[in-house]
Amino acid sequence: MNINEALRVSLASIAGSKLRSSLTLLGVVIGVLTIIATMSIIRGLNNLVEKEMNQLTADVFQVQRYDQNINFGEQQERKYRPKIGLSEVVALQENANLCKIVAPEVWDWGSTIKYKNDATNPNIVVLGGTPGSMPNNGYNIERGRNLSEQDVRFARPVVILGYAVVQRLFPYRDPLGEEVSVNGKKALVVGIFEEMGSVLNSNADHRVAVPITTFEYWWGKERSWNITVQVVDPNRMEEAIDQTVAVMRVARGLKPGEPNNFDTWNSSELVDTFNDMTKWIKVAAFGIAAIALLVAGVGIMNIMLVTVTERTREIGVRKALGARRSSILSQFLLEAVILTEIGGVIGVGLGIASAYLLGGAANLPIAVPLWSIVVGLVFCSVIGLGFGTWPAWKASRLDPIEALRYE
Amino acid sequence: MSKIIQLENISKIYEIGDIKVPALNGVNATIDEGEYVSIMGPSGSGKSTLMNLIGCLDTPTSGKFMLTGEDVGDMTDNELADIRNRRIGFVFQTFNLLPRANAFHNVELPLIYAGMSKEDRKDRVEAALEKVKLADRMKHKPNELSGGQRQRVAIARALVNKPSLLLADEPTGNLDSTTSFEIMELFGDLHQSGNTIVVVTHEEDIAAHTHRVIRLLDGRISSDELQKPKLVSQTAQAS
Repeated sequence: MNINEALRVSLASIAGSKLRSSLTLLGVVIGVLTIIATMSIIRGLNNLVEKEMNQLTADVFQVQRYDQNINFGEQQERKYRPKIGLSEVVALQENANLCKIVAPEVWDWGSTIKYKNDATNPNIVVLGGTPGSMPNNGYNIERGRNLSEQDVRFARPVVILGYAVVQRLFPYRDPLGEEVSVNGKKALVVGIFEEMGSVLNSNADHRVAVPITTFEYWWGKERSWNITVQVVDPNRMEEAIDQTVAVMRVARGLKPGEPNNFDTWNSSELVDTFNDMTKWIKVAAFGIAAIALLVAGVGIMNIMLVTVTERTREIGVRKALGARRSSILSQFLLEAVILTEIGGVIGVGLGIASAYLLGGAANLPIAVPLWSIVVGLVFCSVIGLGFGTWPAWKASRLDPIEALRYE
Repeated sequence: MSKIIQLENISKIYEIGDIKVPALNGVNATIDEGEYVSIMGPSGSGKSTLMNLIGCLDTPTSGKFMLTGEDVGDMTDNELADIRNRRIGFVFQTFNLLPRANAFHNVELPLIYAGMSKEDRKDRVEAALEKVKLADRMKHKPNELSGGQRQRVAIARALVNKPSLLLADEPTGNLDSTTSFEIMELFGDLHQSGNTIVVVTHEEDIAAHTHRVIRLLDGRISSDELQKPKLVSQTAQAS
């Protein structure tokens, strides 16, 4: 059957019943919209995560006591593991020659910084670190100085303030050389971090840094250290991690065959983990879309059955004029596919629009993945074909004499 | 003269539940090329059944039906569709034009099913509409045309694929008398130019224009007579 003819007839017939067609298409539109919008937002999040992570720590990996695990699915059991401390840091500094900067750090969340009568909210992150912690975490000093080896060695009460803390406590004066209190412990401000902006809503500017020794002097030595490692050559990241694991195993006295009692990860792993996490959101979106499209498919079948009944006489005429069964079949199949594809195209449009709308509200760099458009439209065709087949088959089997007589 | 239609001992029996209803019962007839024949009979006489068989919309229960020398009896569905497309031109009482398509497209339809190229179709459609004097109405849709014009579009559609047989089922049944005469005049012209025409009708007035009248009664041919056709102009004057 001539495709142009089928196309023309289909469009005319759809145009002839606009309200009915558009109601039927609602399900298709919702289904495709869901796919496009969700995938675009996830892609946007993904880009953001990748950009931020890579920018901060492309050549850095981290060693920590427990496994990095931000997966909801598989929470591993927390078997006791010995803390990581100075001996591991020393071992790495001495033996891991692929590691350039080995910097231990500890963290405290939810501190309050006070200056005179002013205080921040108790949402400040305190990093206890070494000079190397700053480059390893991608923190740049805007003014003043970094922590020094001496600060660490003598556990000096010095602090570097994050941008938001400065904004809050020192709106009109220079904080350098002033004395603030970090959760009640007095410290001298020696430096200020550059503004970082927010990374996925965790505000990187709400933080201060003190020497790791000072941190432990103030709040005790219970915490296990994390060790950030900047590698000599980013292209040999894997090798450096392998070397580090070997050194760590020796330092922690593990026998061959014993599993590691520590974990290493880097930013690309974090991106992987993030992808792992969003996988389920994608699956859920596809689930919703599939249900919407399935319901839409039933609607399509219904409307096609009505169309076939309404146009029984036309089918009879076409058969009398020499249309084969296959011509009638393909005509109605094509009509079903065109109908769903119209819905699909509208769904793509609305999906992109709503993704940008939501992305704009959430300050996300939205990116519409081409494959999601392709998948959405292919889905539509499959639905159209799947649910259009029976009505089209019915049409093709009509007896021309009966059909011509149909009122 | 070559035979267009050969009916040999044709029977058609409908089974309604357990009851067998014979619609045609041993019909024999031959129609030659260039003939202008009317098939008449009261309702229930089997004339619709006969028309469906001649139109290749249906196949007989028994007997042999040859259309232009081809045995239609054991053709497949697709072969029947192709035969209808190439050999038969249908004209219906209710015109049966596609309402959403314009005159040009309605006439074009059989050519599309014949798989003809777009350029060739254009020429043929224009020639056919020219023949029924509707060249200036090509872009009009059926609801923008009068009844007579609609039937002329339908006749153009029937002629466009150069069929061996023009088969008309009560072609004037839905038309007023003036328009009916117009249509019968057109049939007369088409016959003059060599077309074979079979008209199924129950109106003596219409049958009077044909050269041969086959009358059916209870599924059998009751009479098959040649006659001198009444000229359309005479009828028009008489009324």
